[in-house]
Amino acid sequence: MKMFKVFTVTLLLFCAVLPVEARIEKRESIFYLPGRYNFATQRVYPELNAMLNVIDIGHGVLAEILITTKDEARAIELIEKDLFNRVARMFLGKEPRPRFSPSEETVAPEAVKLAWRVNKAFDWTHYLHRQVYDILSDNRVADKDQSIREALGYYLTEGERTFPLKIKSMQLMEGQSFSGYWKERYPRFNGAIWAYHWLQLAANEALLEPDPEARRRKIDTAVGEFKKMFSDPSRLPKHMPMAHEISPTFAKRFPEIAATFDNLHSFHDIYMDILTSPAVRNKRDAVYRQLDLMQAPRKDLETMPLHSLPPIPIEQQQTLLQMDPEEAMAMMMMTTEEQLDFLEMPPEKRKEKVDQLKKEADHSGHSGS
Amino acid sequence: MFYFLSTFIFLASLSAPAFGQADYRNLDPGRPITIEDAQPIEFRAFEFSFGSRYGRHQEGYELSFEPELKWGFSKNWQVGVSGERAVLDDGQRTDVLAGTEFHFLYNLNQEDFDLPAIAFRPELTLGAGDLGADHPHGALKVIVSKTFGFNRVHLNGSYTIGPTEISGRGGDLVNRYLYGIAYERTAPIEFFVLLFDLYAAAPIDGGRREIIYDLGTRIQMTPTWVFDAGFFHAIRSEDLDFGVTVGFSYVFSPRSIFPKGL
Repeated sequence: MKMFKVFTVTLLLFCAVLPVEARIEKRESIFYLPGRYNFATQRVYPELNAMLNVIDIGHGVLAEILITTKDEARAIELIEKDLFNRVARMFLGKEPRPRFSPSEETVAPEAVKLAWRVNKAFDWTHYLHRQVYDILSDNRVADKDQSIREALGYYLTEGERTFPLKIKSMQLMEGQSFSGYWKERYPRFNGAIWAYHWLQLAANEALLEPDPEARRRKIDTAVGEFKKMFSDPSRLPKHMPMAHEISPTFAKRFPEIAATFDNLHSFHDIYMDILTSPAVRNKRDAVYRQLDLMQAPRKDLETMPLHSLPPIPIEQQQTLLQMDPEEAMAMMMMTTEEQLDFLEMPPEKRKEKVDQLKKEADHSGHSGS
Repeated sequence: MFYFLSTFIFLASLSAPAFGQADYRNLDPGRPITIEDAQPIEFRAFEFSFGSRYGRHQEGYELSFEPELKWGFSKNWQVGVSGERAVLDDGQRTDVLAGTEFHFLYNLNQEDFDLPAIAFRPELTLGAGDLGADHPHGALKVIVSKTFGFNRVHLNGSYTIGPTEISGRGGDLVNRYLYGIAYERTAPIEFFVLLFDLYAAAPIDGGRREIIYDLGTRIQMTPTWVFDAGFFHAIRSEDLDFGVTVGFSYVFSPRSIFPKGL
C-alpha cells in the first residue's frame, strides 16, 4: 500500500507540474473512411501493395536514422548504403516485406516525436492516397469518381492535416536557404524517394484504365519498371516526378487530388532538407513554419504555366525521368507538341532549349518559380 | 444482457461494409496483460474484443469469457463496456456473470522527446451474478506510456472507491488498488509485440495484496483482426496460481457516423 501511495503521489505531482503550453501536442488519431473497397489494392494487386508497404518502411526508417544518428558521415553511410540496399532487397523480393501498411509510429518511433503535426498531415494524406488506390482497384465500386470525391470530402474535414488543392510554388521546395542539402548529400536515397513518388503517380494513372486486363498489365509494367530502378540505380529519377508528367489523365480528372499529392511530395523533400541541413538548428520550429507555408491555401501558389504532358507509356518514361529539375520545369511551359519534341532531343539540344527559355523568361521579366 | 448484446453487435458488424486497420499495439487490460497503454482507439473507430482466461487456483480452476466493446467517440477519447462470465470449479461447478464495467479513457497528449503520453481512465463497475460485487465501485486509473525506440514502458495506477466486498466477490474487474509496470517490444515489420508486466493489486474483498506477472503477445493477423495470447503467474496470492489468456480484437466502424465531407 505504501508503494502505491508513493507511486500515486509521484504521478499526480508529475501531472501537476506539466507545462501546459503549446508545446504539448494532442494525439488525435482518426479512423479513415470506411468503405467496401478498403484494402482492395492488397487483394487485387498484391505486388503493387507490397511495394507501397515497403515505401512506408523506407520513408519511416529514413526519418528515424536522420533523427537518431547525430554524426552526418554515419547517417550518410547508413542511408545511402545500408538502408538503400535493404529496401532494394525488399522491393526485389530478396528480403521479407511487411504484410500490411506499417504505421509510421512503429517504424520511426523517435522520428515521430519531432513534429507530431507533420506526422498527422503525412498520415492523413497517405490515407487518401491509399483510399484512391483501393477505390480504383475495386471493380465492385460502381461510381469510382463519386467514391473518390467522397474520400476527398472526408479528407477536407480535417483542415489542419490537409495539403492545398492547388500546386504550391516550387520555390518552397527549391528556393530556400536549406533547399537542396538533402539531394546533394544523399543523392541515391533521394532518387529512391523520387522513385517512390513516381510509382505512386504511375499507379494512379494505370488504375484509371477501364479494361481490367489492360489495367493489370499497366500495373505490372509500372511495378516492373520500379523494380528495375532498384536493381540499376542509374535508372532512378533525376527530378521529382509530378502528376502533370506521370499521371496526366489522373491530373485532368482529379486536379485537386493530384495537386494535393504533388504538394505532399514536395513537402517530403522540404522535410528532408530541414532534417539534414546543419544550418537549421531548431528542426521542429523550422518544419512547422514550412508546414504553415505549405498549408496556406492561397499563398505561394505556382504561377508558372503547368501544361500536362500527353500520357507516355510507362515503359517509355526513362528519358523523362532522367531529366534534371530545370529541364522538367521547362517542359511545364511547353505546348504538347514541343514537349514531345523535347523528349526526342539529345541532351545537348535540350540544354540549349532550356537556356533559350530562361533567356525568354528573363526578357519578359518572368523569373520563374 | 451485456454479454448477448455485445455478441450481437459484433456479429452485426461483420456484415457491415466498414473496415479499417487495427492498431495491434493498443493494449487493453487483460488482452493479454493487465497493464494498458495511454492511447485510446481512433476517433470514430469501434473495437470489439473477446478474450478467454483460464486461471488455476489452489482448489480448482476458473474459466472466464470477457467481451468488450469500445468506441472512439471523440478525438483522444474512448468509451467502453466490458463484461465477465465465469465458470468456477472448486469442487462444485458454478457458471455465473461476474460483473460489468463501463469506462472512459482520455489521452492528454502525444508523447514527445521529453514528455510521456498520459491518460486518465475513470471506471464504474456494476455487480452482476454470484461472483459480482454487491455494490457499484468507481475507480480512477492514471496511465503513462513512454517510447524508447522499439521499446515502450507503461505505468498504471488506480484506486477504487466503494465498499469492501465479502470474500470471493468482485471478480477480476474490480480491485481496491492496482499499480504496475509493463514493458513492450515491437517488431514493426512482423506486426507483433512482446509484452511483460508486473503488478500489485489488492482484492476488493479486503484480501492480501497480490503480486502477479504476465507474459504475452499481440499479433496482427489481418488489417482488421488482432490475436493475443498470454500467460500469468501469481508470485504472491492467497488463491491464484497461474493461468493463460487468449483472445482477439476486431476493429470496424459504420459509414453512417462519418461526415459527408465539405
